[in-house]
Amino acid sequence: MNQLWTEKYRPKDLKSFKGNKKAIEEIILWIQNWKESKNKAVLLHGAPGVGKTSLSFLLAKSLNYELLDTNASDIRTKDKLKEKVEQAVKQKSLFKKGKIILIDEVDGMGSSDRGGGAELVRLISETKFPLIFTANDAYNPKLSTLRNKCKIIKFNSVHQNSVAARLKEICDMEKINFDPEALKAIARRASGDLRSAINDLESLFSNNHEITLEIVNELNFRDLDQNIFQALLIIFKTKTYSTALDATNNLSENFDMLFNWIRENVPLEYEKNEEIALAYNFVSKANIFKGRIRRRQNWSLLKYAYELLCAGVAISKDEKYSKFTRYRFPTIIKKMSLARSKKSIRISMCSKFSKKLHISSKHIMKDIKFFKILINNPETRNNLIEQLYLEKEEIKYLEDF
Amino acid sequence: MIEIWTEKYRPKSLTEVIGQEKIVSRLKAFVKTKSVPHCLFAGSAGIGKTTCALALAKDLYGEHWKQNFLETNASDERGINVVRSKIKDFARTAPLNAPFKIIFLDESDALTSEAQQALRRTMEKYSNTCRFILSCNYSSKVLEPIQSRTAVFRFNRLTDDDVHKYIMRIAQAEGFTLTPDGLNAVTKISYGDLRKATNVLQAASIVTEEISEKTIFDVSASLRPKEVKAILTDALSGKFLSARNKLNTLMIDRGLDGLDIIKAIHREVYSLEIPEKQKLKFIELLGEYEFRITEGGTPDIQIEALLAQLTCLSKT
Repeated sequence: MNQLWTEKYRPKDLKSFKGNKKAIEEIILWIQNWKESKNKAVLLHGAPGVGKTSLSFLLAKSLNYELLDTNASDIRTKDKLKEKVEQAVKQKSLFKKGKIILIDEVDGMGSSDRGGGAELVRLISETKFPLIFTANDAYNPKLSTLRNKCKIIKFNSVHQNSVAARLKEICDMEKINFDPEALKAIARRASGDLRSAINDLESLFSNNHEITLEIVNELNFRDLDQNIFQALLIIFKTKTYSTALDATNNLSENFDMLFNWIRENVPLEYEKNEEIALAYNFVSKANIFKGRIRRRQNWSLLKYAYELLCAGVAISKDEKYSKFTRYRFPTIIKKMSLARSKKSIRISMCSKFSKKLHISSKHIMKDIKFFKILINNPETRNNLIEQLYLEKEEIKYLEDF
Repeated sequence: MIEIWTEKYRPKSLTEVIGQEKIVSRLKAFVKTKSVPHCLFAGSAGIGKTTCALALAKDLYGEHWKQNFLETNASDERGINVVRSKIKDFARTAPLNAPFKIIFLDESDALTSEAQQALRRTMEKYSNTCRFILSCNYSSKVLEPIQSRTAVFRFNRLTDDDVHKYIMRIAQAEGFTLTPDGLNAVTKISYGDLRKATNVLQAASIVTEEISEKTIFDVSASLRPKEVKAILTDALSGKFLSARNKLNTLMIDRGLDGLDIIKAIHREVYSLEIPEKQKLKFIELLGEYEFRITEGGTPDIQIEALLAQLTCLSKT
């Protein structure tokens, strides 16, 4: 039978499930005490390929529940969800088994799935069975309402030793010869994504009879940073217009990613303030073009944004620096993802104020320091919390501002 | 009752509104004849646009005002879908005990032009059951065809006397006092914006019962002049990386608005210790980069680029 290895080797029992032991315990406990539990739904979140879906299937099987699932490939508008899930939520299962309802990839519900999000929230209040949602990022603003109604369980990336161990098991079952170092290398490159590691192993095996370190190195890895570093190196070290432009030829990153890498590292590579200023002038202009593209959806302008960015920054230096610069991951992206969890709290908090005070979120943020004073003052604090139904995390956001 | 004063002391009826006498008397006439045209309320923040719309609805509909009044803020929901779904859905159904309903579109200059286009037909199609009140800071930002469908009301900046009157109304009700310089400070800071004045007063009254100039300045700014000055000093002395870090803290961690930061920078320019000619160059750069933001640039990137230009200012 020609089955993908990722399907063929989905773990068959809890014992062979790799990683995230704590999360598993937490979920089992939650399912077993579901009737008494305050939360009628869990939201499992974590990077792709760490086992959120696998685990849900596995739990149903090993705890002897029936499993009903819907994923992003299904249309999930309000009506479709109703049709498919609502009956299941209310009815007893056949043969009097318990039931688990899995709504996979909830962050994949797009704008075409109109009303789907609200429907999910309604399902939580009506369900007679445990509901499991999965998502890559629980702090996606789209999920802010849902998140507050769920128990949230985080799935960590699978440790590379666990990944390597699973690869070894598969090799043994497929009777493949392998170099343990090669498996470790695959595991390392997968950075926590077990599914992609298994895919890599399978694609390697289809061309070779033995897995050696050498052939692993030939694999075209999902190694994002490698590409970017090379492009940066060319742009920062050349003074030729066309060479700088060519730097982006083999780049799989999108424009914004490259943009932020360059922006971050300009002042690290260039040492004269005049060079930095000139380079930033081009960075600024490239950014304007990106804004025009966004406003008008006119993607044919993208070439100008690229040229201003790459060639502009390249020719902004007087002489090329022969030094080695350790390029840095964009702070802005790091901070953004940190700030993202905060951002969704900010949005929900603002909308509560906004409704009561008849002003926009933008105005709320302008007066935020004033609201902080109100929340820190014992006389006004409780009134504010009660009137606006502020949640714990929103109160904390205000206090810490 | 919510204890945020801007709501507590928001006039409940047109008769309580301070200032804007001409507008208020026209609105009162609408109530009397029970007919309201589509309106456009134009004017700066905190001078009574939302208050007048709410008071008009309350006077017109009495106890049923909530059923007949929809408020939506375009700066939060600016896309075409608001018009196509939320507004249409509300406009479609019959009013309750009234000849028509009112839809209040706050900050309507923030609506995308696509959404404004969609609004044109909606305003005409549903005018039997529904009247629109649009508010904006600048009427020129609202499409001509929409302006032509509305009666335009230009709200004036409140005079200092009006602001004083309002402040004293609150002071009496809440039982705090203001020193004369305190009163002046509130008036100066709020610049006719009653919401700002009210918020500052409430914050100050928590700190002390006798409000002075110092208390007012302590509680009023969300962006401290000191913070802006530190960034500028770093940039001007060539320490770009340090300036960039500080800027990131303000914009990403604290989520401050880019244009507010630009305004704050503008206020600091004059007191910087650089030659007068350089100040002029500074202003030119500042204007250029603010313009770039309106041209589609991202505020944090553009301000960062501005700082990079400043590092060269001292030498040119």
